[in-house]
Amino acid sequence: MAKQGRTPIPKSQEEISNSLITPYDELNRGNPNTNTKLNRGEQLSFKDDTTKPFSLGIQDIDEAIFYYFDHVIRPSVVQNGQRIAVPVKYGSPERWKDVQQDGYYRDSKGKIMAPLIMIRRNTITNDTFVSKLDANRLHNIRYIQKSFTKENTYDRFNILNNALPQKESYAIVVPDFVTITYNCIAYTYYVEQLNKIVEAINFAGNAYWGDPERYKFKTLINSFTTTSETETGDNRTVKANFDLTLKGYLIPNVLQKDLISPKKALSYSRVNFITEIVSNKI
Amino acid sequence: MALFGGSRDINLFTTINRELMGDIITQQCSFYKYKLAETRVNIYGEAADGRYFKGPIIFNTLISRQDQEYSESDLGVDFKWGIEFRFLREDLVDANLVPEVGDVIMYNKGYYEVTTTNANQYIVGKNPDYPNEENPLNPGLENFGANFSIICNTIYTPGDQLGITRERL
Repeated sequence: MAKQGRTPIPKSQEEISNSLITPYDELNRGNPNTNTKLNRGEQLSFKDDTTKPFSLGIQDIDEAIFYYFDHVIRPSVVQNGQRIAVPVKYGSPERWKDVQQDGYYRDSKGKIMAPLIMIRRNTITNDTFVSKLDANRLHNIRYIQKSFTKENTYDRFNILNNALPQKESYAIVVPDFVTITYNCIAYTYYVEQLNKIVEAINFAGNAYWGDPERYKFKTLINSFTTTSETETGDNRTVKANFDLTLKGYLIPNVLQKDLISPKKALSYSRVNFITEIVSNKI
Repeated sequence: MALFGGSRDINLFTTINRELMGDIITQQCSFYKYKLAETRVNIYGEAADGRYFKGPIIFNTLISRQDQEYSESDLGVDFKWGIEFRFLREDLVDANLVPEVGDVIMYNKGYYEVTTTNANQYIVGKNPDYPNEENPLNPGLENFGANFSIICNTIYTPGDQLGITRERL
């Protein structure tokens, strides 16, 4: 009777399409494609939260490569009886930065001085063996529990009131696993110097590269192509080309992910059973 | 001892050129110099968060404009314009400014990034900055010749990227 006078709400095309799906569901978990409604109870604020939503971008991976070169491999050569650290730079920076700010590897006329290592990212290939399954509905999410939260302290008073410690968890989507390739050029004046650089980098190959305090990624080096050329009207060049293959993963900080993925969850701290009596006067 | 291109000759050339460029030709441009200490760059060598400039400093200049080009690529029809700016070196010395690759020049409300600089116009072929002192053959060469001009080749750069003016509304 209560429905009398109400205009029926027509089903959306998405609802009709989802109702037609018969999922293969041995575990009786239901149709994973039906739950598209927004649950505001799952939307918890990050206000005053010291934990940042987790994200890992391409730049973090690039920084791991640079960190490993600068702090672990630390390539150096001996030139005129002096040990020189080999600067590592990303390929094709902005003009003003390259000439004016990076003057330390240029002479007074602006000529690039050896030794120098240049890195440039070439390709990013998706490895789909593990994934979040569907970017429209995230299925693979992992929760990481926070050990202590200031807002939800658990003390003796809570024990007296039969309250349980409230556990706070952060949701992290299963990342996109990628294979990233970098092309690198090591440039020196002498073959003897180049040998030392190649030896140092080759030793570090097939290891996990990155800052131990942040992220590390398996990095592979297959081969080095060394050239020493003297062309008419140009300086002699001694170079080694090599490719780095890095096994990485990405969790982007994008709006789409924020809208469809739960970010934070709280456990139940207390369940109250109360008695409600409805009396009806006759 | 050199005979020609002494300081009196150079002063005459400088005065005539300043008058010619400032009062008769009167072509002008404004020069923006990067503040290297304040402009932050990322690991890719890009100032993606914004850039800071010294200036603009206005200069009299000789301008040689190439034709505008409208190249077509997969991105669509693009615009290219190369301009050559010729500065009197003495003007730059007075302004304490050294043009370098990457600096920005404003001309006709457009911005042009310096791609090359040439400072090889020596009066009587001598640069007084390098007199080879102590010079037993020709002492006093620092008083002869002059490094007279700096020529900057530039390409048009969208003001949107430089962040000097608001282009994208």
